[in-house]
Amino acid sequence: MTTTFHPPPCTPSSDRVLAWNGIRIAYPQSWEVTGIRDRYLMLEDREGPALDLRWEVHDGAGKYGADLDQLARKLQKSGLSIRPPDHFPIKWQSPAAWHTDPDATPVPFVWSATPQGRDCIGCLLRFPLPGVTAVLRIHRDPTPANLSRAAGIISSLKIFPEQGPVPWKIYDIAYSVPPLFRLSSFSLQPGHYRFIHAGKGVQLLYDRIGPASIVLQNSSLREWTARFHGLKKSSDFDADKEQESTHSILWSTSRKRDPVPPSGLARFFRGARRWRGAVWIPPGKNMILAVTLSAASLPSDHLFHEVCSSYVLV
Amino acid sequence: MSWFDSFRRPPAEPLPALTRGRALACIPRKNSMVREQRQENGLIRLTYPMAARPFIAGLARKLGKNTRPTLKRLDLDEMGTFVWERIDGHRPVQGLVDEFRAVYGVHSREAEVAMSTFLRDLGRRGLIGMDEAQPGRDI
Repeated sequence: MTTTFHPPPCTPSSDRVLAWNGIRIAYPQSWEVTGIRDRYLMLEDREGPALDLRWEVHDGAGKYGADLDQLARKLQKSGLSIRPPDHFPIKWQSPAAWHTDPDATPVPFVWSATPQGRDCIGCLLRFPLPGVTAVLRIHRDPTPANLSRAAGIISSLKIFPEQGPVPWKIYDIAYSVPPLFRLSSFSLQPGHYRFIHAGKGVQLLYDRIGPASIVLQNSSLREWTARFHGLKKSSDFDADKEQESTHSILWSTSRKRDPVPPSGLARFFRGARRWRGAVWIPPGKNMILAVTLSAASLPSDHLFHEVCSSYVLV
Repeated sequence: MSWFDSFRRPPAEPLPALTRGRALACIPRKNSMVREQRQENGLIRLTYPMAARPFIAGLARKLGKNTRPTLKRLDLDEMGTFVWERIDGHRPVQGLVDEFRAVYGVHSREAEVAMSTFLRDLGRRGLIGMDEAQPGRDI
């Protein structure tokens, strides 16, 4: 029996793209990201959960490699049952049918929340080169249409190792993090998104605050920046680089307090830190974007400007 | 099964799951007991009766105290006023989300979460009810 088929293309024009903590995936327009953790994503449509994806980064052989039995044992503890996709249409039982990254090893499976529960489809993917194992579960019956959609999504999955620049795109913001920065924490509250990345002795904060018309009220962006970042002296602002016409503010200061205080003994052994920040309102948008860099000695201005220029509203 | 089990209360029927789609199709309706007053700055102040808890009300009755519900006030901000003005018993939550998103330029998911939090707060205070039925019906 032939196993040739063509999964529907998952292109950015027809689908939304999500880039989060080293992975990038395309998903249908009607889906929405409703659950986010460090290495976990949940997407829903109007009927309920549609897809969830969790992944692990590891060295060498990995925690559960590409072995379905190991994965089944691991997930059994959370009440899920996993088994091989024996009753899939024959073409979908072949790993090649999932059109994944050539380096990835896909292992399709059937899963259900309870032993008697509805069968859904999933795929375990192992990317040996960056050392990532991903488990993607589609919360839908294994009908040919759903299998085809699942294959389209899985084929769009791409891994970005942290040795290189890592793209981030979530909801309406997108930015690129320089190499060797890791996600330290994040918060997604309506009106204020914050992402904190930590490198070697350097902290990088991305804020998105809005709506700007509500946040600013009758104050200027400069006044708001001074309040938001606790800037007391006018010399903290780069007067020559301030561009009121494009609603952008550059500032830098030196103080002991970190944007995010270090834990443990580190808090007692720290000296003054340099802060460098930019705040701006993108033209035609009603949001405030802010980037803050904090380090004992600041990296080059080139890096800071690169970080700022990659941060956009989409 | 032991004879003792027959005295146990049968487990409650689980409520049908409210999907995101059904939640967005719900129609919020204002409580007719709520009085709204527009202030000089254009924002709305809501005044609504709040009944005491049954235990407190019973205790007050026994002590011969006044048991009439107290009046509470809630001052809405600009965005709260915007949403309150659009709760007309016809617009579903999705309609409110769409208008909010269009006016304030926020992301659809952000508008959804903000709207559901705000409506949940209004519901908790008894200022609105949510209806899955036909639009235009009074509660």
